[in-house]
Amino acid sequence: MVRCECGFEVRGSADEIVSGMSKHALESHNMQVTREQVLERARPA
Amino acid sequence: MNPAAEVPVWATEGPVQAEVFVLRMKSGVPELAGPCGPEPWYIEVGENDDPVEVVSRLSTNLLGPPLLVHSTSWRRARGSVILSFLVLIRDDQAAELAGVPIARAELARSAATQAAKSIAAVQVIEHGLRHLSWLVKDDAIVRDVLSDEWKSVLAGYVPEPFQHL
Repeated sequence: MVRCECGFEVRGSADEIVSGMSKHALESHNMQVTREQVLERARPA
Repeated sequence: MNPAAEVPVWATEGPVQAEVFVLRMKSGVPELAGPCGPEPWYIEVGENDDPVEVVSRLSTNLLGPPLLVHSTSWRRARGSVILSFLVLIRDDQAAELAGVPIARAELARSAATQAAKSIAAVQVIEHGLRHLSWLVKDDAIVRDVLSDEWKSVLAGYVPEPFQHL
């Protein structure tokens, strides 16, 4: 899972986490993030 | 994946960030009703971004078109220059987002040549609403987009020149 400071969380497979967090980061925070950046902050739920 | 027990919290970063307070009127009381609930909503502002455009675009995409996007102040925090915005939305807008009533606050005062030591979110909102209380009298665009209910509330934010004892 990955958790954003705004309270948003995404769980699932690595692909799902990357997809969900990338979408949230861009749509809610104007952040362009890479797969590596997302997975660096992920841990097993 | 990071095996650490604590989940590292994702946060915005970069040299410039927007700090957005989404405000909505509910039964005559303004409330904070942004996507981060009672917390400020942070948005990264890229080197080629227009801050007002970014805040307007993301607000529109997440909440629907705002009534007003007002850049109210700036400060240094979170390792960035923080540009604070008030975004006012319609009373019936973003109904799925819970609102938190806004409290009044003393302003964070700067020294003559130095910034205030600390500035709380509620003080930023107070400062922004005092701006709007002036703009609603001075700026036809602000006056036109705000409801009578907003104008009535903002009238209470005009600093009194003096009080009778």
